[in-house]
Amino acid sequence: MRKVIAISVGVWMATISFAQRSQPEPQQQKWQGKFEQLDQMLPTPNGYRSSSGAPGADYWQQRADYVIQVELNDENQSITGSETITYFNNAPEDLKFLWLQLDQNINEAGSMTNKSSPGRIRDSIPAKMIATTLNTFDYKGGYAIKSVRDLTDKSLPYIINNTMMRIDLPQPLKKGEKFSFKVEWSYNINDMMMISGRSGMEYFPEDANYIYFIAQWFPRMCVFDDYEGWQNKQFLGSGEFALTFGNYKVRITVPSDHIVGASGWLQNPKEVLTKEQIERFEKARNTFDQPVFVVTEEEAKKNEKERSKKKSTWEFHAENVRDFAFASSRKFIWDAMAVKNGSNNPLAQSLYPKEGYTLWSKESTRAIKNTLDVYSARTIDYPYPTAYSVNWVGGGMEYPMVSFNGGRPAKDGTYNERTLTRTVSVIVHEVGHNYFPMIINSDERQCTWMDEGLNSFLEKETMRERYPKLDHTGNTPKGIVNFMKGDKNVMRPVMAMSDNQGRSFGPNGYNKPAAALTVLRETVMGPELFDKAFKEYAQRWAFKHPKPSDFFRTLEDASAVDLDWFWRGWFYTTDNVDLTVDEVKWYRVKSTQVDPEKKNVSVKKGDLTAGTSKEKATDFSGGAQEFTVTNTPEQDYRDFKSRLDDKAIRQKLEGKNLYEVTLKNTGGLVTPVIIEWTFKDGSKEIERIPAEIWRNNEFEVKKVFVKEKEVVNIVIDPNLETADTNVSDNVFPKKATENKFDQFKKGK
Amino acid sequence: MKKLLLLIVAFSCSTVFAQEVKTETPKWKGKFEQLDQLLPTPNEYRTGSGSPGPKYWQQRADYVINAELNDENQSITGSETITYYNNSPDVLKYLWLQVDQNIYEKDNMTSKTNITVVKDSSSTKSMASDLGLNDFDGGFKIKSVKDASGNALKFFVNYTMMRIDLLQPLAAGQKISFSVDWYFNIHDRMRGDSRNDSRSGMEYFPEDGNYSYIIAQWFPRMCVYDDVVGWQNKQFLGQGEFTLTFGNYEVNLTVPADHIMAGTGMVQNIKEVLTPAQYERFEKAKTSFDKLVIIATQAEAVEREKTKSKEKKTWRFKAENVRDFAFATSRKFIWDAQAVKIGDKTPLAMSYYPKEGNPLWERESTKAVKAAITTYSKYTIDYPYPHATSVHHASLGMEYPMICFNGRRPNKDGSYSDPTKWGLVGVVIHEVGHNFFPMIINSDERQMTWMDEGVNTFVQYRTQVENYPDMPQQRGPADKIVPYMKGDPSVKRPLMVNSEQVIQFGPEQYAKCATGLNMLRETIMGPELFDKAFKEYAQRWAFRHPKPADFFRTLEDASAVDLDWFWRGWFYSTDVCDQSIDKVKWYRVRKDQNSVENKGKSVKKGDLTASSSDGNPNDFSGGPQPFSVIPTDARLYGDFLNRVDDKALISKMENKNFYEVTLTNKGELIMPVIIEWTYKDGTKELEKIPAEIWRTNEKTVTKVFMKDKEVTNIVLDPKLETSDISTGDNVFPKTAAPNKFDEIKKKTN
Repeated sequence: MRKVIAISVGVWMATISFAQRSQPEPQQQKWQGKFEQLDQMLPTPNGYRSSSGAPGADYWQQRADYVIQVELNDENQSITGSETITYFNNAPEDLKFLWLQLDQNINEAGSMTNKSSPGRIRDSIPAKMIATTLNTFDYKGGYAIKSVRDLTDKSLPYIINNTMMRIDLPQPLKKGEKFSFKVEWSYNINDMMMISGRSGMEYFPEDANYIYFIAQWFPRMCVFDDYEGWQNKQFLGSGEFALTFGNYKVRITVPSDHIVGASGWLQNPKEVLTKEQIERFEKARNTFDQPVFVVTEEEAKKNEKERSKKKSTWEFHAENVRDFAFASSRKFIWDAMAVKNGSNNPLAQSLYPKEGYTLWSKESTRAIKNTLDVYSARTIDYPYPTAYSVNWVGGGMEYPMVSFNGGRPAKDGTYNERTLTRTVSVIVHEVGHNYFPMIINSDERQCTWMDEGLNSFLEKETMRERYPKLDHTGNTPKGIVNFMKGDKNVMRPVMAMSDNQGRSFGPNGYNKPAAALTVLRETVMGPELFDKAFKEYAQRWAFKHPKPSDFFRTLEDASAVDLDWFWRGWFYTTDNVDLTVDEVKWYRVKSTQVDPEKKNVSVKKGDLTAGTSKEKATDFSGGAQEFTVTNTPEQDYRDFKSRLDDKAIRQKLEGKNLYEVTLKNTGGLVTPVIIEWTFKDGSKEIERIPAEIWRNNEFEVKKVFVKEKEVVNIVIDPNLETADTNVSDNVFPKKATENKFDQFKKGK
Repeated sequence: MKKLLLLIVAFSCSTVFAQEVKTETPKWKGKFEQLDQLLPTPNEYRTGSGSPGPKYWQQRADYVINAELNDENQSITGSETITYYNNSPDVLKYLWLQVDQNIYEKDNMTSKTNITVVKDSSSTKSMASDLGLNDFDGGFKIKSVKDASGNALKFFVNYTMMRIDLLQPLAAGQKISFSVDWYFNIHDRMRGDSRNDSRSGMEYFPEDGNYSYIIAQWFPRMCVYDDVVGWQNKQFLGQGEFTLTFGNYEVNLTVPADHIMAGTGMVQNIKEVLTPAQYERFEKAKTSFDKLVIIATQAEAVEREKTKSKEKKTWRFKAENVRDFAFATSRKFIWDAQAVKIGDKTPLAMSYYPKEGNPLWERESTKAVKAAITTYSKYTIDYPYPHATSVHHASLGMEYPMICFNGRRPNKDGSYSDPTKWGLVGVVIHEVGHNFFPMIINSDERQMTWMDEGVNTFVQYRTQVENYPDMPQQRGPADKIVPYMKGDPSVKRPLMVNSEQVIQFGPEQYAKCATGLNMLRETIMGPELFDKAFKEYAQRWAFRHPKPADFFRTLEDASAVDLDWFWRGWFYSTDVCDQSIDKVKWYRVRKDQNSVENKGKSVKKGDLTASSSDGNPNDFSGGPQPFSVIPTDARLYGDFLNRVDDKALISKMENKNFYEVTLTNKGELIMPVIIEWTYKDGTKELEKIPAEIWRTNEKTVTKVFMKDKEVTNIVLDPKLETSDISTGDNVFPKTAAPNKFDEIKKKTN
């Protein structure tokens, strides 16, 4: 079909792109291959991970089951635990040693994090701040490992390297075999008021009680996988966790007046709850419209004073979870409500102290339901029996089935919209983490955006659908503009390692990927294709360990949208979107030339150029320039015997307005072009051009548009959907005032 | 985690306010990023943990060789039957063999591509070598290639590679036997065709008219076929050594009857080739663990030198699971041996040398062999072969399985200097050490020199330190690599280049790699983690073919130390370490501000900066600058109802000295920061900060240290562990003299 191509190219060039023929633009900047495929930037597909982005035919993953006994000591605020881990080696290789994570060691005085964190002295520094910088609090953190033994109580040799512990096995653990061993430990719980973190305790001076948020509290298996081997990269603080799925049986011993919520389903309610509480709990399991109190505010207040010296043990079981956390306090109010979710009816549960009552009793459990509704529609049905939201102080932190979320009303119980927005969005976000990374179990130590970014995107979607009045700009293209404008030397690409992000951590982990996915959904792919592809990713990788390339590949595989340019630009570079309307030329066909009898008196080439002024037009005040369409010369037909009806075609153009628009890609990030035309009669039209318009020239494109009506105004990206960092040059006619302002700014 | 984000941002305002200061931010180079696609994607052959994968495979080649060494015309005539086992999952239509002797052909690629210049007063020898003026008819003469039934097989020779086309493709799991007949003339190593390859050949002794032969690369050898490169048939140009397949060898070598021979493997007919007295001594050596036994004495050797037997004898060798076979033979050889206990094995440590090597050789060689196999076994795996042998040949160090050829000779009167002695000890340890890298941990030398030479030089260094404490060390200590690191960047190559492209072969592939591993052990990982991880690598890849990624991955996998930044800097770049102390500011908490009652009167922001300009930026003479620690504002607590005890925290800081140290990474290479504090009372404290301090800013960091005592002096890298190329700027107070010296140096450069 070679010749046909030649002809069609010839015709197309001649008729449509005459602009480029008359004045070829020199390629000014070096080609950067922005539209090239990612190829070797992604790992080579193999039997473990397929090129479509799905788990491969030989995909495997490890499993670790835990049986844990733990006591929370309220007297000295410490944890004492012992666990039996059964590790299933599903890898196709033998293991001589196992790696476990000792996250609490990040709180040791000589931790790598403390040693390697920078700092400065400034005057009038608050005592708490400098104490944090220099780690001068009187707190002895870190695990004390008492023993590591096999099931016959024989000690196993181990070595601790900061936050990682290696256990050497008596003999290699063969493929398909399992190994059980026991670890005993204890540690002091950190006061989150001084040493913030992802777990700890909060002290309430008024009633002298604690709430405990217990996480990273037991030696946990590292992930061993096909891509990393052991993911034993040290826990430095920013890069979170990489964890293996398994089943948990956890017995938690606490003061008997405590209420406990955890990653799992309570097995022994009769032992730890009153008859009345059990009745309410059962009622909640069948109540879908509003939360039911299991422990009321009055009861919680009573508990606060009780200070029981007795202990009780709560037993929770969880299946196919990657972690286990719990919260415990005598201060907890407890409400719960059932949620319809596919064929399951998971229980949404909230625990909070009286200090959170007004806000939390109203919003928390409902926010859980909203989250499960929206997230399940976009991913998979919620597979766990419950989802807890526990009120803590500060930000938010997620674990399977349980999350710790900040946000409290003022002392008098009132709260403003900012507090409401913050609280609801934190709950949505942290409960949403059940999907990413608890179920779609990415490697957080390596890649923050894979859980935080995807989750922030769905958080925003949930807020948009369920809380339309509350602000969610932070995770939209509009919200990321300020970051994208920033200093590129400080900025890191999204794909940089979690712990190396520095000041880019928040934007790159959360907002930028969320904004990018929004651009994909709303602007590049459209909701239908995007939602299908995104769901496909969730289904493929639920209860598995995806890598970035699995996400990138699946989204293309399921949608037939080549997105390599998008991943390249948004995830691998720090380029930003900044389109500039460089020039718009307005043309009309010269009517005197249309007379076919005069076909030989055609205007000479170059006349048109001569007629335009040397200065670029900044508005339409010069009126339309005229140009001539000549009869098709014989040679353009090559061997064809038939002929076009030149006259009819010319008539189609008669009286039409042709706009030749020159766009510059000032920011470097290639993007779809969205043009809003405003016509003289006040009507508007939006035209969407795929990003592929930039594929031959990444820096400048020209395109001609034919319009019936006369245009008075052109705006690029009128709805701010592409994160264009400078919209003042997106407009034609150019606005003089803004230009001067820009010049002034530049001059400065 | 979401809204922790808010906290982190707040936190970074408080602790990392360093970055509030507007300085020009250098471009980020991703020095702490994971290697990711710089390494091959793990697969079923090679895992993400750096071990052989579940489908790992390697080929095997067994050899039966009959050869005769002709002492009259110094040539080798041989015929071999190779049985090649195709364990790969692929079908092979042809086989590639290495015909290394062709590097001596007139028309060889090495000579053609050697860069040559005319220099006044050039020596004849070097001109002859450069321009190929020596009349030597080198190269393999292949007489025949036949299959097992005697059919001729088609082959063609491309320089040092020979391709044999099979009559039928060799399917996965099948084996094929074929035979090759050849001969070649032995090259005289003195003559200086060494530009190409001086790893084997002969030495002539004019005084007694005898030869000493070291014979290697002497038979057509199978190329490696593997999962990463397919056939490793890259030409032998001289620098990139060998890539070889494991197999079993049966080698029958016919030589003059009065020769003493050493070779890869054990002699099967030892009784036939030795005198009864020699045989008895040999048997005695097998159980002599504390001292060596002379099996062939110097007196016997001198006698044989004169008689020059015209008879022949055949020595029958067998070797199992080796990647190559070499031998040495001469009527001049003296031979000593002793047994060494290693695990449950008792290999022999042996040495062969002409009288010209004594008394140095009888004193030092076998002793060094023993030290090498003992110490290497500790760091890697137990030495698995039945002997390790050091043979003396002029000006050389070259390794083969079980046998190596080593230079260093005493003066004619038998005296020798310390450098000669240490030179011999070093070369013997190094070449014997090559039994482990690459003979057992069988890396691809044609591609990567550091994987055997560098790794081996590192263990050589450990062996020398542990067995010869008085020996001056050249390659290993960080400070010894500094002159190289300071050198001309235009002739530097990263370690991760192909062997043939290396210009500074020794300083780079040997010394820089060894130094890097030594830094990992002593400074970055610590001996316990490093030794475990290094041993793990050796165990995983013993009798296999590792690649660089397998080494990099295993060291991390077994230690939980993320070293991607180190591989990036030390192996993939030519960055150098040059840290400097930019600024040290000394602070103390302002007394009048300490009282909680005064909390309303806090100093405004900026006050401190203004006063700091008075202090001397180069030393502590300006005294401490005061700063205020104020009670914590309620806003900093967020929703917390609990409060810190401000007064107690502040009183802890009273009278403490705060040092805010700003460091610059001038050389670009990421390294840990080691700070030595010297206090007013003369005591010292050493503080080690992991390399991760550079992870968010690769160029500059500022950190605050709180000290009880007053500091008089700060030194970076006081023990010279990081190869910092300029230590003049590692000191505070800044010393005037070295700075001037530096300036002068800069001007002259």
